[in-house]
Amino acid sequence: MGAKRLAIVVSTPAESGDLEAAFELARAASACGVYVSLFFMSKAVAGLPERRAQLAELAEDGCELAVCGASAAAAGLCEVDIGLPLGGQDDHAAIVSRADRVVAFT
Amino acid sequence: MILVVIDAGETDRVSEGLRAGLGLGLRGDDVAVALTGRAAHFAADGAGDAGIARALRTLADLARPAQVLAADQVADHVRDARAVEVWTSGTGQPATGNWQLATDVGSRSGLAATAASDSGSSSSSTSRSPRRLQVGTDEIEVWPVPPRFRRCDAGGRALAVDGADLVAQILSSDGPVVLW
Repeated sequence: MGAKRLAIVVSTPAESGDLEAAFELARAASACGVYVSLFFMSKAVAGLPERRAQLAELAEDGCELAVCGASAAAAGLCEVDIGLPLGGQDDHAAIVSRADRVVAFT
Repeated sequence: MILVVIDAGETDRVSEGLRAGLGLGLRGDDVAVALTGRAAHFAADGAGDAGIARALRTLADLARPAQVLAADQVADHVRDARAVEVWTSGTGQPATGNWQLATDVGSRSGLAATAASDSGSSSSSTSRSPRRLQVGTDEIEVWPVPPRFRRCDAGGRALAVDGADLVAQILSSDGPVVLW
């Protein structure tokens, strides 16, 4: 049987503290051998540029990271700002569809 | 079924919740969108917002119209879902519709101040209520400051939840994990 899959969705602004909580949960799950996918959309995306180092660490740990391109455009951000390729709602749907469990910081 | 519960009064948050509800169906999953609490009034043609009205029409065209649900109805839908996204105002405060009180876990009012006091949090955080992560029949508080995941023991003391334990609990839970 393959590794369990955990999807984490974040849409709230950085001031909510949800990005850090999501990162903490992702790190813990990854350390347990869980396949972790994170999807960022809406106001959460504006908080990603200043968290590039944390995003890079999560990617190095094997986490799948996806960012809503429409939300990035609305925030005036591009891939270079965030350090991740931009995707869309199809990534959201795919990550949630194949997950064993979903935690939504929305 | 994937359930999107929109419990926010802000136009932009309702709009984004509806966008998520539309997007989550792109892989063929059964998706239900519920408007509750302050979001309920947007069901009437978007309450004047053209984008929300268009999103509601699109959901209806896809034969999965957004439903206006009362608290007990939301709780029923949560029990039937395999995944739940609760779209709040986005401030890090809990959902406001009180529908969570109809779930098995119920209210844990009074724990917020205890948790903040025990962790030495600033006065600003004591004025906030933590969001609550419902994992099966257990409830974990989610705070904006470390320790972010806390559980109250029998004596009412808020204790940090071990990350590995939290992950194990999430993955072994019988029902969906709901952050409200």
